[in-house]
Amino acid sequence: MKTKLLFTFIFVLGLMGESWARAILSGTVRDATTKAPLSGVTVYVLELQKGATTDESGRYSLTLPLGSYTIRFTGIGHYKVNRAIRLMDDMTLDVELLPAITELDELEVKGQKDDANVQSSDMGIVRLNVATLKKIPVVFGETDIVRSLMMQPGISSVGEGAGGFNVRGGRVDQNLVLLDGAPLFNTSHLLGFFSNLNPDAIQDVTLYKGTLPARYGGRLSSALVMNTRSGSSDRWNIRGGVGTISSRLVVDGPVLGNKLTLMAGGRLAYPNLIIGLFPDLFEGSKASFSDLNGKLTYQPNDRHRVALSAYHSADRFKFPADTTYSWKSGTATLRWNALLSPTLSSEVSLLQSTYEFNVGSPKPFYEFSLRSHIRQREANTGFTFTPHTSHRIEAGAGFIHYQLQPGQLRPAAAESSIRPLSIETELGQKLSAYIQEEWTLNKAVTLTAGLRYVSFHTLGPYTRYLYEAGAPSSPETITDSISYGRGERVQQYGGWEPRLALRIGLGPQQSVKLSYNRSRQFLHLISNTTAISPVDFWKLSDPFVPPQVADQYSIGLFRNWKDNMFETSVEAYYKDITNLVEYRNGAELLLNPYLETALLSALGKAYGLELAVNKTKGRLTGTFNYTYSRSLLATRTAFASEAINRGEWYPTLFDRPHMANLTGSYQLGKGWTYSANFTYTTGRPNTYPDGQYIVNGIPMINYSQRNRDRLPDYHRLDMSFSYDSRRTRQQTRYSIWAFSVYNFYGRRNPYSIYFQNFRSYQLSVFGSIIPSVTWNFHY
Amino acid sequence: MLKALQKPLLFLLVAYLTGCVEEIRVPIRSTEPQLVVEGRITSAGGPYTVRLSRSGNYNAPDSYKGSAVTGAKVQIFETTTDRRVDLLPVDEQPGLYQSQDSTFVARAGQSYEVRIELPEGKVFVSEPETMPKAVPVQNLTARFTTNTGRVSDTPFGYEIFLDTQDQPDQSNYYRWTAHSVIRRESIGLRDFGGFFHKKFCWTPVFDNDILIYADTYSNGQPIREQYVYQSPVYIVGKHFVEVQQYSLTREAYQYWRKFNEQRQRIGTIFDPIPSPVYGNVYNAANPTERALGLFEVAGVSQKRLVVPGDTLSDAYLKIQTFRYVIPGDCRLVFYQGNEMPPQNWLGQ
Repeated sequence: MKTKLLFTFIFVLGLMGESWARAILSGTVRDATTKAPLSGVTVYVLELQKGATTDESGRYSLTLPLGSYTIRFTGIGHYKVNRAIRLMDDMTLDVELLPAITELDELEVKGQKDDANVQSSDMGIVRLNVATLKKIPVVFGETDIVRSLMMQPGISSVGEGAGGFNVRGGRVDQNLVLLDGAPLFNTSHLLGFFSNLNPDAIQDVTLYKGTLPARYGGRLSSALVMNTRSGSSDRWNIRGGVGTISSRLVVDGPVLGNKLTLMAGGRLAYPNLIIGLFPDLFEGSKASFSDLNGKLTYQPNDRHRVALSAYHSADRFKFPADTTYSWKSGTATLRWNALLSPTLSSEVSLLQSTYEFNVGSPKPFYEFSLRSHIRQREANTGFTFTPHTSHRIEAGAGFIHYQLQPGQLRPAAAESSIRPLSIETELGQKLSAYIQEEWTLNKAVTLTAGLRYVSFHTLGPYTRYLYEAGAPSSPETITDSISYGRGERVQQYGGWEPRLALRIGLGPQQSVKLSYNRSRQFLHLISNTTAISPVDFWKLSDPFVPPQVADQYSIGLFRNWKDNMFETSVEAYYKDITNLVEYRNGAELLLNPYLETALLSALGKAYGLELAVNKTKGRLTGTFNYTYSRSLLATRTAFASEAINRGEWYPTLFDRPHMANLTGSYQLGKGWTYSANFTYTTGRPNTYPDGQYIVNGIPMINYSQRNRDRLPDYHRLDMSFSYDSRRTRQQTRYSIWAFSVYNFYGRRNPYSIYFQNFRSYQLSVFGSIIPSVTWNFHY
Repeated sequence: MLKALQKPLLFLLVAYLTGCVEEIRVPIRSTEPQLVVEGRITSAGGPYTVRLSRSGNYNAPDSYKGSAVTGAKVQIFETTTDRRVDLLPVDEQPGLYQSQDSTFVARAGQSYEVRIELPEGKVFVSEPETMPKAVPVQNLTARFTTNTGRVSDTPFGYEIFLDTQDQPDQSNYYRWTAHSVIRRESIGLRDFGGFFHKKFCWTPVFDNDILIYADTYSNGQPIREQYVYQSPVYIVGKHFVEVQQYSLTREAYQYWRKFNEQRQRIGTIFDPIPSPVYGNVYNAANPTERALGLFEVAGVSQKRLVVPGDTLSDAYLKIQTFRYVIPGDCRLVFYQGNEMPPQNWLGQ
């Protein structure tokens, strides 16, 4: 209640002192070649040092005192444009930006405008320039959005080939990955070696690793927001690429006049070619993956836009005469953006996201198929109200319905001894509402205050087992069970989630930022392996599994030098997490009808310091960052015998104290660019044996202290030469050739260390130099 | 069955992606020795045994080879009645304790626990567990194979498969052990006439693989062609095979499952996280101190099979296995060598 009052107060305070002679400047920003609307473009009034950002439909709106101004439009991967205007009345200013060819080919990250890092209250945000990803060195020539994030401070993974990513010491399932607003439950192809996002279909990528805007919630660590490209209303474009593992093609253009546009694309992989090179090892093994993107955009006028987008990704891996694994993701989003007045815009969306995996085994007499499935359906509405340049208010509400089938086992032949087994389907719903105000008090101080409320219900049908008190729960200690009927509310969780960000400018070139964030997570990925795998399943919060809750505090100091040629920053954060899901030693997770007996509750904490230096201008651009971070865990149990490492704090699997990345790119001229990446991280924690004994005549190894040891450090250098055949800005047909070398000095970086017959072995993936060539074309 | 899921699917993939494996040295820590208990009580009658030892440091086999725990007081209690039996040390095998009272026979449906009082006074006990009923073995079959997992041993063998009928309306956990008596050849002893004799004998062979199965996903269904054993073939001769089918408690099954999981780690990031493998034995005064190993309470049934072994070509076998013909008296160079084959194996 108090918070609400505070909001009203802030709002009223902001409205006071308004001068009356004001007008609204609004318009749409588009790409000059494709005519597609551009989101995230900064519209900046130089005289007032105020600005706005374009929304999903490329629209912006500013309320300004009457007068003459210079408006600067800056977008990622585009040339900036300055327009001088005289604002006498409400005015529309539409702008087209030319795609940048050379000047903006800095490696990956680019703030929205030269000094955005200092001027905005945003902190802990990474924006990737998808166009330039094609020029950086990558493994097997596969441009990979998720892997590119690994070069950013605070982002890591448990190893090469591991699916997902860890943000600031958070788990993989704590990342909200949104594609056109729909969550993706899996971001990997080929069990984690490649990400399942087609870079040609994606327009923009934003990762929030600190404070989440109030409209996002449900995951603790980060939000990775990606939007697919809209089709051009002007002409048909074809773009694509041919690489050593996969090829991709994306077409876009107008369908009916210029109101309806289409973007469609796909990617097909042929890893069997490589498998075929090793017939002895893999005879009969088969792998394949593919993904498809599509988007239909209808824009009857400048005020309304409706977009229908869909995504599908599929993977299959088969061992000869053995198990077949397959998994697929799919999303569908219908989104309607409307500009209700120059100061008020709205967005309504309906979406669905699914993920499922299947395992099939042909073992005689035990033929089976196993399926697990998750489906999320969502309805959202949101409003953005900009009554004044110094106020931007966002509000909205959302409803989510979850359906999870954790595991369903079926015999796959008449003779099979396998009996059908189905773990109870989990159902749940979540209601959320938020409001956020971005208030620019004066040139120096900006406050973003958001508040989100969530309420989650576990719904029936649900069977709740009661366990004997005073003993660790197990199937033997079940005393009774309670059945809940369809739609019955089994358990409720929820609460307020405040989001606060404050920027204090210390002169034009530097600022201090502070933020605080609370979030809750009701959906948990159940995985007891080092890396997540496609056959891990999800679980909803229920009476035994409360939501994970995280509080994150961060502080940052930002400073630019030499006319924004160098950007420097220092950010520190501290995260406190409760109710993490952990697993008892040797727990059996899959197809366990009493899963709660395999789970433990744990506390988590993570803290770190991130330093970054970016050089954003000139022929040589690049970035260097260093992160010191820790990520720790402690189990909390009623029975000491169940605790991991006696309940003491121990490092998580992705605790990597020191991480450093150096990326650089040098324009050689005539379309050639040389790029290099160097990365260094402390090895991840691992458990080494600390004893041995004999049982049944078999020597056994004992591992008594989880994550007490570490793998050796990881470091790698990659390089690439790329050639861009564009000579003029307007050129629409061109190629980009990328010749890259991954792991230049062929280091055998440890992927894991394991013990067999009392010998220790180190396994390396990508343990040698890997050259590749990729051809990207635009037509 | 669903172990396939834990099989780190990617291992092969990893390898082809120019991965490589190399042997390395890692720093090794030492920890306090822990008590290791290997005990079993079955419905088959005694003697029942418990073996006590202590764990040693990793990669220092000397530190645990002589680590037998002697001087302990070991008892098995039938907790549902007042019966109990003392296990006394076996002199020839330090660390081994064996029941002497042949009137004490365990029965399915009764509950048993072990109590171990160590010389220094600590008392370890097991969780009392009810002995499950034995499930009869229906049938054993043998199939000749030329592919063995054993390195530097005969590539030939008879794979033994078992059929049984799982019991409906209850959870069953199985474990199989087996051994066979096979014919071996040595160079023999030369007599005064220059002839070699004591060239052939019969010797028992064992296999310590842990073979387990749970009916969780196939309750009440027949268990068909379950592999239980491989009897190695060196020369032509009969194979006398004996298979035990144990009915385990869920706890014991979980123990062996974790045990196997630990042994089958192959080092990918899709392996389960390593953890200590504890059974049901703990320090009575401080339950957080757990013993390694297990006290198994199991119902047991057994079945025997004689494989005629006369369909093989002796000449062909000999080409492949002549190097396993070793010098000396067959009865002495092979474990428990006997000139006579087992009699009345099938009990008829």
